[in-house]
Amino acid sequence: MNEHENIKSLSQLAMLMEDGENTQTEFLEILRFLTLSDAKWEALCPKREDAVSLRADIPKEGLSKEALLALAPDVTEGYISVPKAWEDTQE
Amino acid sequence: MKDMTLYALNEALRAGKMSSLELTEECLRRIKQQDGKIGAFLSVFEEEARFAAKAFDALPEGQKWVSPLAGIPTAIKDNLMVMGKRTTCGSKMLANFVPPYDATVVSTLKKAGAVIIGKTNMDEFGMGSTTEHSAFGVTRNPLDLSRVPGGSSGGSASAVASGMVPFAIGSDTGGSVRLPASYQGLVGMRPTYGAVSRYGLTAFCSSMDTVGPITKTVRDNALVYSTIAHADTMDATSVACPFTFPEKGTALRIGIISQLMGDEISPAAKNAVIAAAECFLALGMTVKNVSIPHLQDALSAYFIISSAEASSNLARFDGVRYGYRAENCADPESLYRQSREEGFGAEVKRRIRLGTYALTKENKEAYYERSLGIRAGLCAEFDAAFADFDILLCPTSPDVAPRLMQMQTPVQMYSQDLCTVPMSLAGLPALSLPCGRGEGGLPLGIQLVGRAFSEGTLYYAAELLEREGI
Repeated sequence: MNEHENIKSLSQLAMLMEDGENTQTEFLEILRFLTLSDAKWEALCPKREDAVSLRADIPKEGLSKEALLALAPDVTEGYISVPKAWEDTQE
Repeated sequence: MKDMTLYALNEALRAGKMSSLELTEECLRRIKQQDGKIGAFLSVFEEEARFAAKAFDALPEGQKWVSPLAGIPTAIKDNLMVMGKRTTCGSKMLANFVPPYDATVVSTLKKAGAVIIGKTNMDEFGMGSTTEHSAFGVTRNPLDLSRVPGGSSGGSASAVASGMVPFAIGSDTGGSVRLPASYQGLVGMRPTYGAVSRYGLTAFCSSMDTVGPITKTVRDNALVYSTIAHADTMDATSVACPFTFPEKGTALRIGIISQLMGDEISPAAKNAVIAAAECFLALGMTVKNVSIPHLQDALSAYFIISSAEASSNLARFDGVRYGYRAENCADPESLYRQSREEGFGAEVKRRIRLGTYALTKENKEAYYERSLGIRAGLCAEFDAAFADFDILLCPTSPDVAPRLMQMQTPVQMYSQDLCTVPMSLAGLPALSLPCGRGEGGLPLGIQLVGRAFSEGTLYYAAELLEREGI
């Protein structure tokens, strides 16, 4: 993410913050400090799909309901909400 | 008495040269005498400590020596639950919270016969490197009162360094045991993730939180670690781990982490690492440089992941179930908002904000997922390094303890964790021990990092250095 995109996100910041411009400036400074540029990221992790998954046995689209129940057989079925895919959980 | 090691105190107690009550009284006297200017303790349990010490002294000889810590006073960081005692985490949010149970580490120490003498100050919820971010005031470095003690376990370290207790317990998420140990000339262990139970430790970053001892010597540290490290059914991430030392005379392979010997590190801190390396060489061990390329982004990954987890863990403090509750709120929404606004300090709110931001749909990929990628890459590189090396060596901190208020911006403070967060991300054990001195004659620390559950190897190597007097 570049500087321009950071600035674009200010509208989101405004939702998170209510305590003034100084806090926003400080927050942007922290973000700049912590941001990994796209170029750096690509250089470090050419195979991002492999790198982001700490659990190689969990597919990106999430586990099936059966697989989740197998992992946690004691959990009452009704408590488990199984998303169709990971992206759906973000909607 | 203040300079005696745990081994010496244990021998003195066993030989009847002193009683646990006498030792406890001496600690209480020193706390009264010194803590006004240091600010290490948030609460002191005078009567309970005396009662526990008397009860210990009254035990029949055959029942006393359940552990080498029996009869010895200790202090506990204020984010670990002690039943019936205020546990504030250095936050106004929990200013009056009294837990109804003991953390596993606390109950283990009680069973081992240790006397819990008080709770120590800390950065709010463990978020900080200086113990300046507590709602109950700053803690100072007893070696130089104008300096920070390190954080977030600054209270625990200051209590040991000033001789108020022989040992103390801290917690280490990104360096919170190791940094204060380094700044105060002490030994601090961040155990392998899972080696010591986290049950009863207030969660900051659940995937990196650990509990570790702070002591004056390596041998004392091993003694406390071996007492508190065990599997616990109350913490599913804890495991039974072997605690074994290498055979005497084992030639270890030492790797100096080249990325942590750059311009960010002061010449004095680099010299300390070189002195330790020369000592290892003189002892017949091999020393080479090792490269861990992902280290250059470890600080970013740590602050993103830890803040993301903190934003989730601290969501429970809503002013309803327990903790601080704002008054005169018209509806539940304003009750949550106002309670959190008034209950949390500035640094905690900053991290919650950062974590929430990094987890939003728009930013998750750019921040959180990239950080997980860095973490995975870092773990793989550490694994590869440990194929060729037994121990990795690096500084604990970039320099000696900063002055109070010297860290003017959050970014400056975060940079203090440069050398400690990589091991936290990888869940590896790391031991900080004193080595050399820097500006003003203040102590510096070096870190020995090992494979998961290789604490015995770290203590073995550290004791060799300690014996050589580095």
